[in-house]
Amino acid sequence: MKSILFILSIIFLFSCTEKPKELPFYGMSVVNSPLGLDTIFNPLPNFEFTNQMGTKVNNETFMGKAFVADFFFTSCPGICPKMTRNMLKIYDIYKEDVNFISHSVDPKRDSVEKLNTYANKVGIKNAETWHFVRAPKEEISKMADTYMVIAYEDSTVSGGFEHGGQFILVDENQFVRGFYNGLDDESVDRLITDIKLLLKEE
Amino acid sequence: MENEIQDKKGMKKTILVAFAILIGFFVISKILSSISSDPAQQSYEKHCASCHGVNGEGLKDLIPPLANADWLLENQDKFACIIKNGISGNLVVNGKTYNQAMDGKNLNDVQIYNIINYINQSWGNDIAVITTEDVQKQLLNCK
Ligand code: HEC
Repeated sequence: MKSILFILSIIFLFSCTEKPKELPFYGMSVVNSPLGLDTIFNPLPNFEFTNQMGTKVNNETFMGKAFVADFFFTSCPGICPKMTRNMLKIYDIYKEDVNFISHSVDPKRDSVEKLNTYANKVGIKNAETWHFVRAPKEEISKMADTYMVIAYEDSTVSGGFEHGGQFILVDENQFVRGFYNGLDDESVDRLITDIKLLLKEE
Repeated sequence: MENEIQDKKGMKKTILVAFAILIGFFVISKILSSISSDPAQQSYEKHCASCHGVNGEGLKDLIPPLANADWLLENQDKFACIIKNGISGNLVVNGKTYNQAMDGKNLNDVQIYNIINYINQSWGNDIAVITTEDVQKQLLNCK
């Protein structure tokens, strides 16, 4: 009996040692004091995209709520479905508290209608929390640069576009707070716990 | 004083036992998990499950199922070629229309053979087992 209690208390101790951590900030930093001790990070610059309903969305649409972003295209024969599967997992948990943006890297083929069809196919019936967006090519590259991820046209790769499988976590004030591998289950689980931390912060 | 020493000894022993139990659990769970995933299942999970799901259930209206899929039952003669070359265009599976391209996979005959038989015999599928010769014959005649 005594030893069972002891094992239980060990397990209990282990489960308590993890300190509540705070998520880091990412992005272009500006060093902002004479001594260079304060680093200030910039939030996302102004952006405007068109979502799957044909509605314009911009910084204001997302202000005040954290969001998760990724890059994809609807005719993607490779990694996108896996990312969509993982994004759906996160969406199912947090759709009330967090927004989602999936940036198409293929503005030529991904019309509003195509995006709408894709969204419907994965069970997203309106753009209340999950926006599938298109934008001119330069805007997409600019956004990818801001998030510091890869997304560009490349006819040598399957499907014609190179894009990393990252999920990017952006906070309610539009600061980038985390990068995750959208193709890796453990990394996605880390994102799920990080969102919880972020929501506590708010 | 003597009692205290005894207590300490007892404490040490319990710690050791606790650790032994923890390690024991770890080893057993490792062994169990390595037994339960055969190479065919591993190949399927590595190359197909991200899209078709670990239980062959597909993904909403985007990716068709492999479990109890009428299309698959009727198109067994194309199975190896689909894995090798991919498939695209409209596809009706269990009454639902899919239209989303799938890439071909760079796998060898044995891997393809393993995956086909794993799918054909899993999740309630009860489709005849095929041989490596069947796979090779199919692959020579892909369209
Ligand atoms: C990148 C996602 C993806 C991966 C990985 C993938 N598939 Fe597919 N698969 C699809 C899609 C999408 C279709 C539907 C094709 C269409 O609409 O023409 C499909 C269709 C099929 C079909 C025919 C329809 C059906 O459900 O019976 C079979 C069989 C199939 N896949 C087997 C496999 C096997 C075996 C693997 C692993 C070697 C695999 N797929 C890996 C996306 C994928």
